[in-house]
Amino acid sequence: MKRNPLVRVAMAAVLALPLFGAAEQAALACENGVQIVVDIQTPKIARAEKALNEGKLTLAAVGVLQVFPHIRSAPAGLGSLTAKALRIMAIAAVRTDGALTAGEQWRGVTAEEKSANIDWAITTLRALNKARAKAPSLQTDLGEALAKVDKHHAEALKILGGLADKDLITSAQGYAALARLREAAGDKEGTAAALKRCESMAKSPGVCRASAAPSV
Amino acid sequence: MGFWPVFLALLLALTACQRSKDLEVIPAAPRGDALRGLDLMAKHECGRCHEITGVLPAPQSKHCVDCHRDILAGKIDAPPDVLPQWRAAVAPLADRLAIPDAPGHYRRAWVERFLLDPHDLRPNLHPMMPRLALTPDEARDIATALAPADDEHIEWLRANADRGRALLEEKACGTCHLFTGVPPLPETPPAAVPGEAHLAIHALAPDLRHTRDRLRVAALIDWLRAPYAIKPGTPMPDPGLTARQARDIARYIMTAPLAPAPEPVAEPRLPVLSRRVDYEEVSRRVFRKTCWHCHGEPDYGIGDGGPGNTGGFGFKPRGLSLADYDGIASGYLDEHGERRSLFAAGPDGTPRILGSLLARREEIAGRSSQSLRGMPLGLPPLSPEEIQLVESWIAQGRPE
Repeated sequence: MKRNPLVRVAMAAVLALPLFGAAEQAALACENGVQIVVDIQTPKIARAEKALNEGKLTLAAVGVLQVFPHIRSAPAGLGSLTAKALRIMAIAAVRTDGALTAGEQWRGVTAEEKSANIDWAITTLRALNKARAKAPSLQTDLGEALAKVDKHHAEALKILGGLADKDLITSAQGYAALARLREAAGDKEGTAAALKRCESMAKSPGVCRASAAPSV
Repeated sequence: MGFWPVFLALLLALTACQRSKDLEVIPAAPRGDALRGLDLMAKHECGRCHEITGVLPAPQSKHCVDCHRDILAGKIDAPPDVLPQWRAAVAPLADRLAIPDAPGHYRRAWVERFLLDPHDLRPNLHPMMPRLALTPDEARDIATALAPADDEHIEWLRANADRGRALLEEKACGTCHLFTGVPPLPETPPAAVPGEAHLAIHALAPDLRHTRDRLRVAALIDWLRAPYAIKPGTPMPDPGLTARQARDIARYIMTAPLAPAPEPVAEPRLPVLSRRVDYEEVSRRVFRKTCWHCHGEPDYGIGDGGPGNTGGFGFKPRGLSLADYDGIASGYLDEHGERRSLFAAGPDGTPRILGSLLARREEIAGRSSQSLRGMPLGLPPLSPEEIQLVESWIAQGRPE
């Protein structure tokens, strides 16, 4: 049981509108006054995160875009809910190999769009890691994203290998990425160890046995 | 020597003997720094649960008891299917647990011991005092702040313990109070009190076994005579006692021979399950059910992840979220600010998180570890089945 007050001063929401465009029109009605409104952003982002964890990547992205339609340009240090949204979007982009398409606001059809999505994910995850140091989940996500790009493999291996040494890799996908990197580096023993961890963690074996994603 | 001098001498000797039985002197326990004790109570956020003179109550967003009261008053929005569970869980925890503003109420030595190693004072109450991160000196300082007057000269004035026992039965004190170690007190059907209020009364009644260590005799007598004068709003009813009756009851409570406390039942450690245990199950049955309240996700809690994550009750932020898989897999911050895995093996090979769960059992049995704080903090240990679930999940590689 967790107390999470479901009220926000509407003025703060109104001030945030020009940056992200709050989804709920009720917040616009207050003009210069202060009005208590019910916060609906938090449960929407929580649902988006749940969808991500269930592997429903497009649904997760749609959920984020409903709350933050301009998420692509949101700064990482703005607030904790924004950080959550950015992370969800970045992971969804990485795990679709950049081919994330959600409505009009987000496209991943052409090679350029996919590459741009992966680059955006890496930049975003770097910023999130900088804003929140020593967060193994963000470090794992960054490692997974970096592993998608050839020129970042060494950095990815360093990050994920370091986390694995401390048993702090937070996702099966992180171990899968580590396994692929170690395989590419010729480390059979390390590959087997990472694959074993991935297989024991993963909801679906396909997560671990996917071939190396095409480098972008 | 004549008859009368001998007779008088014997009479005086007998009187002195009786009087000596009626007199007890209890010296004060060692004294700490009361002012520092007040500061420590602020630092450890005692005001989140307790009302204490000289200690500010916690702000609304952190006040545990007031949040529970808001739930019971219908002020917290919650899904209709979970609200009854919340109400049942918090009903016994809606009392501000006022520490009486009476310098001579508690025995300092007991307060000091209780702070360092809390025991189950209120057996009908699910949670109990958490074991905070206090040094012995700090516990002494807080004890001195709460019990500045400690030495006691007790004059029983021929109070009669047998009469006291009879009065306890007549007044049906056993309806709410346990008194372990003496023949059981009879219960009578409770008065018509609304369900949640009765839960609170029953839950807050302490086991009278501990009273002799906990309270000074004069304080107990005052309490029995006028509980509302000592703690306004207390659920303890006024038993309507004369001064003599109060002394009789006090003498019984304080001096009745006590059978040794029963040895805690050694809970079995169940074998690891062979069936698959995934995160959804262990989260639903253990982490989200029990741990999440203190080890939450700060991003969904306006930056407050609870005392076990972002800090509170004097605990440093440990960055430990048990709200989701990522959180658990991210471990915790150690004393040097470095991340450590919850699954790292301890000296005996037990994963850290499992060790904490088993340590709580040991604490309840009176064997607190100095190196490992038992979890869940301030709650009964997890059941053998719940520990088995966590252990099985870990042994299977922590499936998502």
